[in-house]
Parts: sequence; C-alpha cells; structure tokens
Amino acid sequence: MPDTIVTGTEAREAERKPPASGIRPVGRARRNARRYFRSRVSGWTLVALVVVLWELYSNVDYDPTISSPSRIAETWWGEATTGDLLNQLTITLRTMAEALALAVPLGVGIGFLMGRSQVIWGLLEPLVEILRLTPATAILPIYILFLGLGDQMKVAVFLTGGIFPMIINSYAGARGVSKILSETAQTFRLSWLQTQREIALPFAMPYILVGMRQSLGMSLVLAVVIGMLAGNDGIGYYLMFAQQNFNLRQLLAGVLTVAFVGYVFNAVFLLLERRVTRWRRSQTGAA
Amino acid sequence: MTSTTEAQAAALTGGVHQEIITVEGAGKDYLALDGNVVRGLSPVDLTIERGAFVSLVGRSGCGKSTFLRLVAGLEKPTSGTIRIGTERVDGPPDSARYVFQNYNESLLPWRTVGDNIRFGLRHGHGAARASSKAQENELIQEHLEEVGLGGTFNRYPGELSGGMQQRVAIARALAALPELLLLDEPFSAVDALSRSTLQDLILRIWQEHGLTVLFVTHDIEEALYLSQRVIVLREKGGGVERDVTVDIPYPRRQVDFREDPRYLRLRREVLGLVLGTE
Repeated sequence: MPDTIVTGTEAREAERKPPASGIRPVGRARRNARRYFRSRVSGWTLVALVVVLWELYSNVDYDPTISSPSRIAETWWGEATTGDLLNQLTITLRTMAEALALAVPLGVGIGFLMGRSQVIWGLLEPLVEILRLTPATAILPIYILFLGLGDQMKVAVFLTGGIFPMIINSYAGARGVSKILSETAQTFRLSWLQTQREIALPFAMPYILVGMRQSLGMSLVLAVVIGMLAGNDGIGYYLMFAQQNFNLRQLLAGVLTVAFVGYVFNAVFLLLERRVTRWRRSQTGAA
Repeated sequence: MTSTTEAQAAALTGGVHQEIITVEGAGKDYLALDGNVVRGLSPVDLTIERGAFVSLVGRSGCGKSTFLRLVAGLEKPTSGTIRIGTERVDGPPDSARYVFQNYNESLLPWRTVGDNIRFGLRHGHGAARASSKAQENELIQEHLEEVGLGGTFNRYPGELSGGMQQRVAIARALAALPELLLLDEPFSAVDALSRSTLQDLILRIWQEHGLTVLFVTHDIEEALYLSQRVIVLREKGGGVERDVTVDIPYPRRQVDFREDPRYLRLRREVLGLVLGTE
C-alpha cells in the first residue's frame, strides 16, 4: 500500500523524468520559459522582421529623426556601459520595489477583506472609489508639496496609483466564492479564519494575480511619469533629459529599455500565474 | 461492525427505537422578494432511527431539500425544533456531513483529489487516526479505493468525469467519519449507468460504515431501491403526505428488484401520491 502513495510533487517529478534517451532533464522554470517563447515564435519573428526592414531602409535612405536599429543599439550599449541609463533605471526599479512591497499586502488585504466582510466593505468602499477615480498624477502636486521630491513622495504616488487594480481584483475574487462552496465550508465546520485561508483565498488567487500584474504595469507608467514631473532622478528624468537635449538615439534607447523591462515583468508574472493556477487548466481548457 | 448491522436490522424491523433525528413541528417560511411570506415547509413531526436509510421524495418545491437543509443546520427553522441525538441543531452538526448535488462546485478545484479527501479528514474526526503525513496519505488512499478511485490521488477534480467527482465528494464526506450522511439529489446530474453504480456504492457504504442516511431525490424508483423508508412530501411545502416502509430485504439487485411485485406495488402507490392521482 504505502508504495502506491506519492505526494503531488513526487508524482510531478516522476512525470517529467526523461525517456531513456540522452535527453537532459530540464528544470520546470526553464521548461516553462521555453514553452512561453515557443508559443510566441511567430510574434517574435514579426518583431525581428520590422527591425530588419527598418535597418535595410535606413541603409537606403537614412533619416536621422528615426535613426536606425544598429545606431540605437550602439548608443544603448554606450549608455548602458559608460552612461547613466542603468543607474537611473536601478533607481526607478528600487523605488518601484519599495512601493510594491507595501502596495501588494495592502491592496490584496483591503480588497480581499472588502469582499469577505460587509462591515469592511461599507467602511472602505466610498474612500476607495473616490481615490480610485482621482488620477494619481492629479494628486502628485500635493504629494510634492508635503513630501518633497524624495522617495517618500514617489512611494506615495505608486500607492495611490498602483494599488487599485489589486484592490478591485482581489475584491472581485473574494466576492465570487459560490454559495455551495461557502456551505461546504459550513458543513465541515470551518472557522472564519479557516474559511478564508482554505476556501476564499485559493479561490480568489487567480483574480489576485491578475490584479498584481495590472498593478505592476501601472507602476511602470507611474515610475516614468514621476521621473518626468519631479525631474530629479530615475528613468523618467533620463528620458526628459534626452529629449531636452534633442538626443534622439539616447531617448529611443531609454524608451526601448523601459519597453523591455515592462515586457520581462509581464512575462515573468504570466509564468508565475501559470504555475500557481495550474489547476485551472483542467477546468477552462486554456493552454 | 456486528453492532452496526444489528442496529440496522433493528431499525428495519423496528425492534429498537434509538432515534438519531427527532423533528418536532419544524417548518420553514421564506420572505419572498415581493414581501409576501412563502411556505417552504409546513411543520413536520418525525423521527429517524439510528442506522436507517430514509429517502424524501416529492415534486419540485415540496420542501424536501429545505427539510434536508434544516437537518444539516444550513437553515434555521421558523417554527419547531430538530435534534440530532440529544442536541438541538443550531448550525451544522459535528456528526453529520452533507453531499451536494453540484459536486463540481462543492469540491475544491485547486486541490488534488487526494488533498480534497485530506480536507474532509482534517475537518472532521478522521484526522485523529493519523499521526504522520505518511499515515494520513495511507488513509486518504484507502478512502479513495473504497469509492473505486484508487489511481486518482494526484489528479485534479476538473480532470474527472461527473460520476467520479461525486465519488470524491462522497469519500470526502466519509473521511470526516460522520454518523449521519445527508445527500441532496446526489446522482441527478450523473448519467444513468453511473447512477446505478453509485446507488450500489452508497448502499455498500451505508452498510459497511453503519451510517444513517437521509437521501433526497425526485426519482421514486431510486428512493425505493435504496431505502427502508420513503417519506412522501406534499407539493408546495405541504408537509408529510405519507411515510412508506419498504419492507424488502437487502441485498437488493438492480434488475431483480425492479421486477419484484412488492416493489411494483410500492412504486404504484408512491407515484400516485406524488402525482396526486391517488
């Protein structure tokens, strides 16, 4: 009997044991990453094609206002190695990380509890709705006035702008627990805390992850905007500086860097979502 | 095991009257959206003996599910009381477990089948039997094998057929080691062949575990095949119409039973009551 019992992890390990050929076992993360890119081969081919055509065109008829991929790459390498690009990017990412470390538990916590408790919903709904519909950029001058131009101000802007997708989605997930699932918890006599931990939170998890991904995207937008408006450091400041000096290649190198960072964040998050909500594939039939 | 068979035999013959469920004037009125009071179930008086297999039948809206939900403590009666053993029902009782019609909404889809059983084990009296995780896994495996799902420990519920999912739900309820199993139209969403297999499964479980089973169904043939007693409810929450004893011994066989003249006579009687032609 005991040898027929395997834990979930062991079974999954066993499933991906390679066949007796010489194929090396691949880690789950790497295999997922590989599948992620393989499923998007056509899209990446399209991107590559645009770059190649752009490059070919610039060789035939060079237009300095749109430059060329090779020149931008050259500038990017220079900016990344000897220039200020990576320093400013690091400053921005650090502020983002600080803000998210606060925003994730706060946003998920508030949204989840609003979805699970009528009292908390009644208490927080007006405040959340008022703040949610006020653009963070409109509050920015107030923050600068009271908090100055330092990290405190930036974290505050991230919080007011980036926290809402997490609140809204966590709330929707927590509210979505069906009557039957709640009654299942009741008939097995789960306490309030057990119900949240074992029923509501896992049920809401896919929603929470969607909220976190949206917040991450919004945070990147805010990071650039704050740098531009506050104008002291960060990747937004770097872009404004390049623009004011009419340094087009530097500007494009900066923009492409931000785009790349955004894409990587999103990709990493999608892989994480896929991992955490593996069970959902058996339900939705989505690949 | 011998004591439970004795208890069941006693319940069948009426030799020993040890009630597990005592219902005294329990009824339920609902407030409809238009503000009117709607009768869910007229006050009911009845007792159910320990170890009995009792079914409730009637038309849609007769209050059979309402009655089961009152016993399960999922709803409070607007009049009267229900006791399980000596304790008055006020919230889901410790000794009962409920199996829902909608198994696909009642199982935890993010947990594997094995971990769903673990849920039942830990939220009941089952966990006390295991002192280590390995031992717990062994118990889970036994519960799965009992319902014929030995190889599904690491599958997710969404990967299984409807009949198999309902087996998981039954195994999960049993893992909590209840005395009373409450089933609300558990097989109505399952195809006909799987239903026959599941009926025999629930009979086997009832006998082997010495359970008391309260079974709600709209399928009169199913009710007669399974039960010692079939309680027919009047339509529109009108209360108990008749309490029919099915005095046909177990083991019953699907095909033979349906040709038994006693069954045919009972079916005619109950069908007439439900359709209102008798």
